[in-house]
Amino acid sequence: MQSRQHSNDGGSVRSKLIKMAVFTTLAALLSASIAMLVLDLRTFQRYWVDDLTTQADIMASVTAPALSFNDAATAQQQLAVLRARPQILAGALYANTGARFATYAKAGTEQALPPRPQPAGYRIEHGELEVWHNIVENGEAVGTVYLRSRYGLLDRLLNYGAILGGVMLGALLIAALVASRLQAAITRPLEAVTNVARQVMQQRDFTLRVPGNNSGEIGVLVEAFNDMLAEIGRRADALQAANRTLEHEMDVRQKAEEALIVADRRKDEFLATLAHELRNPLAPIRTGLDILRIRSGDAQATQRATDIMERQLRQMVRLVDDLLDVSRINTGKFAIKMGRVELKAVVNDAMEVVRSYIELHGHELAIDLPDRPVFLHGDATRLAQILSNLLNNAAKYTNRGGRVTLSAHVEEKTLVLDVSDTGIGLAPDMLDSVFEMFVQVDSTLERTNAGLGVGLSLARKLVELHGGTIAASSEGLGRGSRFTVRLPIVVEPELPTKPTPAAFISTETYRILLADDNVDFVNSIGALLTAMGHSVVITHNGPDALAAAARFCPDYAFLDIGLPQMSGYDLARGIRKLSCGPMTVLIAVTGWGQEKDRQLAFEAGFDHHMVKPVRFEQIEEILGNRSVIKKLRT
Amino acid sequence: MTRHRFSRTPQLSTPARKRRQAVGRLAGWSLACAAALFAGAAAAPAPAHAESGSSQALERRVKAAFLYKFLGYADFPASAFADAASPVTIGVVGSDEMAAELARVVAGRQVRGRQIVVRSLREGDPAQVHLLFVAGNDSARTARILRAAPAALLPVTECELGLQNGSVINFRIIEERVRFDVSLDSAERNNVKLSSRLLTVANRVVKGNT
Repeated sequence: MQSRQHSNDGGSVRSKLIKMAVFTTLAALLSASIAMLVLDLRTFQRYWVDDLTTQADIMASVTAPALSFNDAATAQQQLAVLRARPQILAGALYANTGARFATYAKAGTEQALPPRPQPAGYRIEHGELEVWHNIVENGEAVGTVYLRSRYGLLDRLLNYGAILGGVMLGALLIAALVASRLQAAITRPLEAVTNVARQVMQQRDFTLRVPGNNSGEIGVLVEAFNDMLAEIGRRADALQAANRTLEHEMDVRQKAEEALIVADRRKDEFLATLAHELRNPLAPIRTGLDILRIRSGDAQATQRATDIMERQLRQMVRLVDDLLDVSRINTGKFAIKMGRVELKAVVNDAMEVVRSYIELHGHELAIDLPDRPVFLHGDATRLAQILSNLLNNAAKYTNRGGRVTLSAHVEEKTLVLDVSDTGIGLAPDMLDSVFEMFVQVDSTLERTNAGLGVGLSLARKLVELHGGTIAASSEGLGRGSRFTVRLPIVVEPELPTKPTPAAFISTETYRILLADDNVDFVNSIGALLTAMGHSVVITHNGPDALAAAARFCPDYAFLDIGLPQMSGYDLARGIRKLSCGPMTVLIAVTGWGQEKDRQLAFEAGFDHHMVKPVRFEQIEEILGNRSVIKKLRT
Repeated sequence: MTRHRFSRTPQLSTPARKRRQAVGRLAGWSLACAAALFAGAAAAPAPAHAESGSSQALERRVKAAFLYKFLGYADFPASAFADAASPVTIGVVGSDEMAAELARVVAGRQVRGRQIVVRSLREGDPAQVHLLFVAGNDSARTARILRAAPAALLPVTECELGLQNGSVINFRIIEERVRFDVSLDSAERNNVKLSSRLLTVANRVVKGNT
């Protein structure tokens, strides 16, 4: 249907080829025919003229005696012979006097004859040919013969034209037939190409190929077309693949964006909570300060206020510590000092931190540990931090008068620590997400002690740093929760080098230099150290501190990095250059806890690096390590 | 009208009488025409035409022209000439006027490359000529002259019984026109061949002595 429609189309290659053949043939035939016609007509005319001239010559010869001997009757009879030639219409003899001597007219016709003779020759007029011929007898002109005949040029033309036309028609027909046979060699491959192109456009199927094995330009065309299809197919595939990749990437990005939005929302919530959390301890502290101011004489009230303030402060410091730790872990700058650690020491350290908090909430605390020592490979401080965080969390999310249990047992080479409580419990869908940063059980929960969601997150990260796992379980809301920590156990023999207990060295007294522009902080610490029996010098800027160091030759120097007039680093270098400088233990006290800051401090000559806020216990610990440091120095 | 008539004339072998009748109507102007024709052909001027209105003079001029023309249709044997340059001789017996007329006609003319010579002869003169014209109506005299000149190859007469007397061509006046009869036997006897074209315009062609 379509092909037929196609073939009927005047613009198709097939019809063009046929047309070409037909018109070429037509042009050739036409020129040949015209040439033949012209030639034939010329020959025809010559023939007719010659024929009539010959006739006139014969007539002249025959009628010469009649003219010579003036025998008009005979001449008339001789002219009458012309009736044997029907194309001759009329004839006449003229004597050489110019008189008409004898005449002839074709039977049944009326013919006009010229009255006078004319010069010899022929003339063609009005489709008639007339010939004048001189009659010469014995070398003498005796008269003129005149013959007029029909001149069948038009008839001849028509006949000849008709024959040529017929021949031409036949030839064109044959040419068309031959062309329609021959054109198939060209149009068939072209048609195949066209059909495939149409199919490709309709079906979008680039695997289609034009069949056939043609030679010459058509073959090249077909091959090029097939190659083109293959190329297009490849590109289409590549484009689709790229599209798919883009779509996938879009999905990923959308998810990332959603995640970012969630994270952003969490961050906002976190900020709100953080502000709240930081603000909370400040109210009791202010109250405590008020009590101290108003009732400074009342020792009991003073003590209670001091207790409250200390507790709140500790809670606050702890919060900020946790935040800093999380931040360090997240930025990959958190380093743990791995070493052999005994479980009981860790538990004791943790208890030190949380005991008062648990007691404050009126919880009952039960501890169940294995009898024999269990050694872990890790950082004692951090392990204690894990436990204290879990215990703190348990205490926080348990209503007053609850029960908090810490139990530990060994399973092959794994230590399993359980911290369970009788608190508000966890919904099943929250069991995993509680460990995520800034996630709380219920962000709308208006608990007085609602946390930041930092503690558990930090605990998990610390456990993972120690190669362990942590999991939460709960029997449901209001039915308490349980956190299980699994840590690998090191079963190597115990090394004898255990740090000297702080109790031993706390009896020693040192010369201590304190340099900090935070007057309240430095004075309070100085008062504490003085109370412990140490000699303390307090300065509030760099030059004073250097002068004091030169004069005082301190065993310890706690130097703020951000001192006025001279930075802590420069001060440290200055002290190291003093005669007694190398023996002094230099401790940097700074608000910047990054690894970079730590590095800068050590390069400036510091031995320790403490991040504000500094707990007094940390100072005591450093003072306890004096002997070790001395050994290293010497 | 005339043309119409002629066109109806079926063929050459029409009875002579009928033809003669048809021709007769034209005789007057025919003779005049012929005279004009021959006068034109003749080298000499034609004062005679104007001065001698007589039909006799006209007749003589026509006959003179005919005589000259007969030479063109007659084929003489080679023995009749001494050599290639020998002239053709015409002898005229009994009419000096004719001889003069003829001399005027042939002046400056040739027949088949030969000169033409005209001689005026007397009765009894030796007639060593190619064409011998015997003038006069007297048949006996003509016969006598012809007998006396057996060497004449082509005798032409103008008497009643010319052919019976051994003449080859004999002039006749038919319907006021000069015509001639031909005897093929006499021509054959003289070893002279006459062109068939001459015979087509002859009044009568005689074969065998009748």
